[in-house]
Amino acid sequence: MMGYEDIAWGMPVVLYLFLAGVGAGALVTSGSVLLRGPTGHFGRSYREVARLAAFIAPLPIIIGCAALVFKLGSFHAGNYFRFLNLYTVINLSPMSVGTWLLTLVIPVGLVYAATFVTWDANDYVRWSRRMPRVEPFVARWAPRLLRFEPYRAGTQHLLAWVVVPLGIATAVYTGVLLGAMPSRPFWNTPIVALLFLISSISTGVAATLLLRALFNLRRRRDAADPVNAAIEHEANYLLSATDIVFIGLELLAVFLFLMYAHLTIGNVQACRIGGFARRGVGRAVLVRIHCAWIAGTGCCRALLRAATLAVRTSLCEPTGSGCLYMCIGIARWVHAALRGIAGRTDHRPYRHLTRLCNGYGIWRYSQC
Amino acid sequence: MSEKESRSGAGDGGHNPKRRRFLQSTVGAAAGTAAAGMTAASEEDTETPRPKKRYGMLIDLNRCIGCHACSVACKSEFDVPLGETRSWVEYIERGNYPHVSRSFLPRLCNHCSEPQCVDVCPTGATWVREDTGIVHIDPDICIGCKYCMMACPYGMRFINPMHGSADKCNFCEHRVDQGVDPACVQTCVGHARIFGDLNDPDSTISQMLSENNDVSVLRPEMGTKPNVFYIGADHSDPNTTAVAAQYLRIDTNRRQKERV
Repeated sequence: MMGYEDIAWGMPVVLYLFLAGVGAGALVTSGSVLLRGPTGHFGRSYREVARLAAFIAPLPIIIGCAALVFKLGSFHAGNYFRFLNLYTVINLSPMSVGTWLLTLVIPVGLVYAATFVTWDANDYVRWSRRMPRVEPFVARWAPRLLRFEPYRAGTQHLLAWVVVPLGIATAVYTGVLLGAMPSRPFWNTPIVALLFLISSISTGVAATLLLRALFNLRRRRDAADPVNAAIEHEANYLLSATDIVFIGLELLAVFLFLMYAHLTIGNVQACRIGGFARRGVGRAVLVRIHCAWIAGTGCCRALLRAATLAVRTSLCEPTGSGCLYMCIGIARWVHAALRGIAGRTDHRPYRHLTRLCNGYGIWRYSQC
Repeated sequence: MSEKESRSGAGDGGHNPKRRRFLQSTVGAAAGTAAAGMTAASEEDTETPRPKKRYGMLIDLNRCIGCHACSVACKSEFDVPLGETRSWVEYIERGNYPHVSRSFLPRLCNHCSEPQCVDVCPTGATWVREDTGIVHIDPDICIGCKYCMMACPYGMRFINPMHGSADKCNFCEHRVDQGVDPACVQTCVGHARIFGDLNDPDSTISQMLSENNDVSVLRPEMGTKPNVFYIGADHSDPNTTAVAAQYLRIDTNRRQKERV
């Protein structure tokens, strides 16, 4: 029987799984919105949404990969470049497949994001005058970038077709990484890959929504214009609705996952759906391990979602109820994460409070 | 072919087929040279055919007294860092008074015929030696990603902090290649451990395996085909005994307090 202590992967790997999911989801979001074009429901704001999601995508994947390398035993032992051995072999190990996949995704994602940069050489030269050492370099190279301008839109469209399957593959691979181990019967199911795919797209949409709320200053400036406001409202509505749909699908996948586990390994009978392990039988070790993992990734995802909702509510309804909703959202997810990691439910009042918060949160979410 | 050449050739043969295929398909001239070398080596092997061995271990728990001599011998043989273990002995206490029992379960790498740790290794740093069946790790290739640790159903692997690579029992292959028994076998005071070639029907281990009915392996449901066998093992599971309201205590005698 697997023990709790034999989970060799720590928080950096959890962080990687989360960040790779965010990046992959953002890539899929960006590519699909761009390919849908102005005829889609995003209207005139489609390019803005695609642009933001494209800018989001590469960074979390790069940070996640860095966390992964940092966690390597060889890195800790001072062999900082031994991870390059990953590139000496091609085999069917999910990690090897993932390595090559990420090696492809990162540069493609960066180039794709670069195609959204506005190539106005004069702006860069003007900006670089603040830094005298950089100015000659920028003055020399910035005009040359203009040569690529005629090819930018075509390249962007072509890459959009590439990043969607790459994003899906990255999201699926992270699930396969966990699901490919028969020694972990609870994870050893294709449903994990499905769960990770849905989860990462949901997270990518949420990240886009969050960044859109945080950094889109023009939207606030043009909020007075009813036409712009209507367009922005529709884009936000679509993103929120997409997120909610994917959250629903994620819950369905979690249900299937637990049902499958119950029918195969039978340990789920020791806990209630949702990971509420009962006191005394909280030693259903596989469930606990799973809870810790889901909670680990879920914790990061939840904070992102809670922050998204917090920003949205603070922008849309800067009232007491908005602040209350923010607190409830954060408290709910942090509590769920801690409960999963600890592997036990403790205080009954707190549990009831959490249920109330859940219900209230869903209701509030539907009202946004 | 000398013994050393034979070993290294066999080791490469067990380790590199995937890499060789990759090289052959991608790198032209270099691959041609490698392929030629490989062909020459295989021809040399066919000239001097010798039966492949498949080493295994049989542990008679009726003779084990739980003295940890095997654990200590392993520690000293490989200078295993503090806090880590290649081989250990678990104490199992079970039953309700007056029907109680205590047994021991020595643990070591099972050197599976179909090891999951090998399948998941992304760098090809671990492989099954074709000439002996021993699951080998090359610490110079291993990057310490811990995927094998996660995949091993027996929890036998650990990261050696000295070089940052995965480490585990290797049946003392440096001794076995010289015809000497592993350190744990040699030091066992109760002669509970029998080591030998499972492919040789005349070996002691093969004969004992055929004679005993109470032979089992750990977690056979994993389908890894372990090559470490036990006579009279107690496979008590904490969950099963909990359902039966039976007392069970397992002392792992290592850093990980829960049984894997």
